[in-house]
Amino acid sequence: MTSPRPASRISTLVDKLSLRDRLTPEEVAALDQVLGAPYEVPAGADIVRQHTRPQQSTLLISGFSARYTTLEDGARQITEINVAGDFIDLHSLLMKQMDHGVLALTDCVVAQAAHTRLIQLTERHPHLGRLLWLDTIIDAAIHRQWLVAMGRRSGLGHLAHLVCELYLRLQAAGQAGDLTFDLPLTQTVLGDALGLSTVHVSRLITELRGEGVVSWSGGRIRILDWYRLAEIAEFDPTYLRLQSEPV
Amino acid sequence: MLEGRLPRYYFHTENGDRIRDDQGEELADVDAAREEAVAVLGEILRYRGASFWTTRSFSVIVTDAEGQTVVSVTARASDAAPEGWRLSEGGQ
Repeated sequence: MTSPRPASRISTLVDKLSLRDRLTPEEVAALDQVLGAPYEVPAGADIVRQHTRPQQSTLLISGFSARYTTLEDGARQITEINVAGDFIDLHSLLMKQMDHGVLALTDCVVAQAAHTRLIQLTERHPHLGRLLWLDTIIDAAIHRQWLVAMGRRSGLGHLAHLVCELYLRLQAAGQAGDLTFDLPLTQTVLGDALGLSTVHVSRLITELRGEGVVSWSGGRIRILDWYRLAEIAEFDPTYLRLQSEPV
Repeated sequence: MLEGRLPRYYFHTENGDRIRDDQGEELADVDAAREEAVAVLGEILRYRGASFWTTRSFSVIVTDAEGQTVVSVTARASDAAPEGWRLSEGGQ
């Protein structure tokens, strides 16, 4: 069983933050209070537009979204795939103007927190503030790995790295089963994420399947051989900071 | 994204394993399909390394919506020079 419906609007975020350090019940309640009512964003719609100045930050409750930049010729580069529990534009709290857009890759459910309330939250709960800070630092670490993969990994290594990363991130948010998860993304989207043509992505998926490393069909991935997959990806999960340590 | 009346081209790949492209891509014309075919070939071969000598050949075959081949591009690996090739007449 994969992608279970979150128990509450903040359970995916709380699951993820709690892996890194303990949250007190007061902190969980405070986090819940800053968020507005959840609403749906259909696949293909912008959740946050590039160059805008949001007055609130958006939490992805369920679904998949992507940070992206579009070039003038229409070519699109996805620089991170966001999963449930990601505070997708927490950056705008301090960056003010968005340097990139965030797009719903699937139907998504999101909730927003006004910047004024987020500032109060970090002032009243500095430890929670540091945990959210850590979350944006990990976003930067994810971008670094993306950059290394784009520049230096083989196509197969890059795809394998993305599968490893998404599995661990979904697992951290309580959204993956035992080595199984849903990834309902088209090969065009995967191509935009990997910086590869859809034709190449299609061959790479066939290759990973052919080696008996994953089964991948109908948007569901089952990792059959984690060690082999991690070896192909040269995957080192340090950057996801999934161990508990006080912040 | 560009949508509309553009022709759709399908990029199949072949190296012993044949991968059919059922999704295709809307492109302006045959020249754009040529550009894409070469780009795909280059992208896929980039990390093949010496293992390319196992299959020795890689083709991208482009078909149109009717399944007719429009263009194709092939790269080959060999231990011999292409037929008729000489380093130079006088040698070095």
